[in-house]
Amino acid sequence: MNHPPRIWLALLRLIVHHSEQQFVEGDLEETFHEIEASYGRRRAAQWYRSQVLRSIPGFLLRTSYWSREMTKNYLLLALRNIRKSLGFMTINVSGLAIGLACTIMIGLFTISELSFDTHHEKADRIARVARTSKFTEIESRAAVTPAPLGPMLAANFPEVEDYFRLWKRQNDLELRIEDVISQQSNVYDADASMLEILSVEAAGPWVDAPLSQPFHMMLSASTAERLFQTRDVVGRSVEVQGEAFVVDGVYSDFPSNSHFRPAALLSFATLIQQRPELVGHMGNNLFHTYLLLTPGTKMETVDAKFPGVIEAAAGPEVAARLGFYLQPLTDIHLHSRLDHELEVNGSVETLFILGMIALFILTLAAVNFINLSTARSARRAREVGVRKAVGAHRSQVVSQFLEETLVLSFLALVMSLLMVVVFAPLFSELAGRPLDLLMLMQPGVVAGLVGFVVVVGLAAGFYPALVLARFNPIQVLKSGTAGAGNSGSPLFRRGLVVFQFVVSIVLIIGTLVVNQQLEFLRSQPLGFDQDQMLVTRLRTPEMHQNGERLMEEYKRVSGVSAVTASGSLLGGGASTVLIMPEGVQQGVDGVSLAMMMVRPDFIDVMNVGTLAGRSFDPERQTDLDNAFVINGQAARRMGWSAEEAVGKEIIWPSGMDGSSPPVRQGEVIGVMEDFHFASLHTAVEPLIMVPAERAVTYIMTRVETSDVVATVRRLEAAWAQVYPEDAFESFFLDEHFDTLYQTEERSARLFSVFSILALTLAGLGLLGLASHSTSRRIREIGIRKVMGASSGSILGLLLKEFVGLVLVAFMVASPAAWFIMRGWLENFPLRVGADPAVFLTAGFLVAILTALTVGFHALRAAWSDPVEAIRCE
Amino acid sequence: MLTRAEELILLAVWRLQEEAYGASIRTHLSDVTGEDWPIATVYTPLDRLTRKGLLRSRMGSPTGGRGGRSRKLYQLTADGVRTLGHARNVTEAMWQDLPDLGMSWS
Repeated sequence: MNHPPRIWLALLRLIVHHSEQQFVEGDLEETFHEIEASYGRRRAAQWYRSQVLRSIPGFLLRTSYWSREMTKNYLLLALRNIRKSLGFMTINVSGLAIGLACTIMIGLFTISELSFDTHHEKADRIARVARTSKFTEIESRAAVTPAPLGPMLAANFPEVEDYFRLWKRQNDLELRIEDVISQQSNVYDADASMLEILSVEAAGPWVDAPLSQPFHMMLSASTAERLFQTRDVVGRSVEVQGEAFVVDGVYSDFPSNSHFRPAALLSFATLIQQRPELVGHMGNNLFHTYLLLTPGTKMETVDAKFPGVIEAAAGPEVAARLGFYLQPLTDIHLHSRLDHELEVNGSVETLFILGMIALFILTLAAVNFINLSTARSARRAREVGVRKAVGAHRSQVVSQFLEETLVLSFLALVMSLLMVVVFAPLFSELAGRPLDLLMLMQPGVVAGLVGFVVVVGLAAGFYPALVLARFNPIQVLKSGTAGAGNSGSPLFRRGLVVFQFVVSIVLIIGTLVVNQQLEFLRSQPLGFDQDQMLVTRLRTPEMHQNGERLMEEYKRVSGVSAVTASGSLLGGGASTVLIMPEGVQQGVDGVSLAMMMVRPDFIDVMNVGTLAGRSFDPERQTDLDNAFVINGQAARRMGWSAEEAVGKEIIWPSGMDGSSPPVRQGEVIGVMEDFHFASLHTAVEPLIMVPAERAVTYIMTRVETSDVVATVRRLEAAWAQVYPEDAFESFFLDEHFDTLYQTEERSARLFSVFSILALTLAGLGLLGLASHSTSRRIREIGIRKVMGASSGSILGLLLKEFVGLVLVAFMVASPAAWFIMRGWLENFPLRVGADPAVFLTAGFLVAILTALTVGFHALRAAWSDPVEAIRCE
Repeated sequence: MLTRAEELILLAVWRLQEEAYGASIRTHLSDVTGEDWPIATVYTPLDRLTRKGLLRSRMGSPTGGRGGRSRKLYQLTADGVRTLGHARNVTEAMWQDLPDLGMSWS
């Protein structure tokens, strides 16, 4: 007998809901045969086709109706199931929610980091000019350029449509409005073209052509509101450092994802009028130059033109040492780490590590969710058996499971959003940047989250659904679990467990190594005595003039044991100079050394150890005029031992060619121990110290321990006598050193938080799996007990399975973790080595976690009444 | 109120009695109306009528000629018969004493 055409039958099956398939197909086939009998196969096939095609709309409508009805039923079932095993579901859902919350927060952070400066309309055409120079051995890259560069490029390069320059004024600039004085940071001198190039938005009235006149300024909306309590301030007057400026208008504050955020802008014309020598000279690298390129211009084409221009303007010798290149505006925040950045930029590396962590944790959470759902569903074999026996279609069983896991994963999403709202402030603090929760509302983010949750929900439901739907109902009903034990290959599930352990162990090792390194850095002897050292900074050159007097006042304060000063701050680095050691021909082979200007008694007051010779003697005029003190590294750099170096003659020339008289020339009188004058992120570099009367930028006062607070108050009084107009600001040197490691501390805290989360997730996953694996073996355990096995031996039996997995994970994780952490440690010249204790601790922690979670279930199984277990047959 | 399709289907079920199922109803309707009814347009009203309680359905035993598949058999309920009677009264009332328009219609 003939069948209806298969292709149309297949189409029919697609559109007809499975609950109706049987009789609809039957009806059509019956009529098909009748027609075939009277009119032949061709007519019958034709008729069949037209029936199917014309029924498509009707059946589709009906199918969706049936699905809706069934979905209602399944949702109800899903909710009942969730209620029935609330504890398990809570574990499962909260695990996924934790993972999602972490990822959402890291994701938001990443989005905001990537979005830096993209909000400017012409962002893709704006570039900053960076400068490379190689006048000493080390090539330096700086974000600052001379002021004439911008106009020169705009005039000579057709690709450059426009430019603007920025000059960042000092922090805490003094603003005065009538009688009110306030301090303001982030004040810039800027070309008027900046407003146009960066599409700066008005937040109040503007004059025509703002910022075009000298002594005109603009305020950001928040600054205007703070200073004037209004945004309508055109024409008002603000005194900046004693000079009157007219306000041209108010602009909207730059968003937080801008690489600089000016609080106020002064017209560049002011600078041209006020400091022509600063602006007119090609040698003053003080300005940030930004270019607007013509549409379609590639940055490389401009870069390629720089060498020729420099050579034409300054000759081949300069061209060999000096270079310029363009940085796309949108790359500055993440990719630029030059000298003299406007603000502290972000780092791609951190972003990458965070991204990896997010990926790990999310995978962990998703794997857990899938794993636990699978384990759970195996227990429901009987339910599935009953459903199938009363006629449930395979696809119905599948969709029931899918809907259940989808409900759970959406619950997890809701929960994770709540977590994000609660924990966002904490994360912001850890990450050092505020999180913009509103970004969660963006359609892309919403779609991504919902998509992910759907995929995880489907994956979690799909696997068990397929396995369970395949069950033979008779077998399942007879045994209650038959076949359930085979749900999922054990290898697959074990692989997942190992993966979780690996992630946990890597994160724990990471945490421990970061903390160890931090502790190591903190405990490093710095080579000088930083205790009880109060630092006051003389902020302006004007203040330096009274530095001597201030130090005298300080010395008279009771509770002060010593006062000294230096030109640069310990822990803050030093400037670099070129030095000609004895025996080296001038102009040929200088040695570049870090240089510190210090008061003659600095070395003694700071208790820096001596390797050879002596430190400066304030009583000897020759010491003050000619002598140098170097550190051990510097002696080595110049090819001497510490003892040889003493008495050697060195020259600090004023220029490269040696034509002008040297800045200083004289003997090395002492070699000091390598103390850490910069942060511990760098090895101690060769250093040369020069005594100078004017080295009073950082005044260091050693305070006696007995009553620090009172002494500092007395120092403040002494300061007020010398500088009645200026505020007293001070900090302790050891506190300053602590702040140098803020980044590391932040990483340490981030690592800790995430490894705790990973451990929690792994623990949750393990708990679920252990409960699954013990329940599968409940009868085996019962029989063993009846045969006389002790609780201990049963515990061992169940633990054995997981201990092996921990071991495998440990073998994989340890080298991986060490590989990753070695990369991180390479940032530090002083670093901890591989400490076996760290690895063992990590392995031990995971082993304990395993013992606790698995042991809990194993003991319960071991202590249970064997009769109960066996009777369930 | 019954739709026309519903009314016709109820009548078909009545006439076919024990043999009222998708295929026979569809064939009967197609024969009477002279149009080939798509099977979906039979099942949708059948369901609606069942939900309204005018029909009741049961699965028949598997039979040959249709690949061993069962039929879904339909039967009029008392409500169904009453509704049909009402529909007939309405139709007859509407036809009663219609004026002659001078156009032939039958």
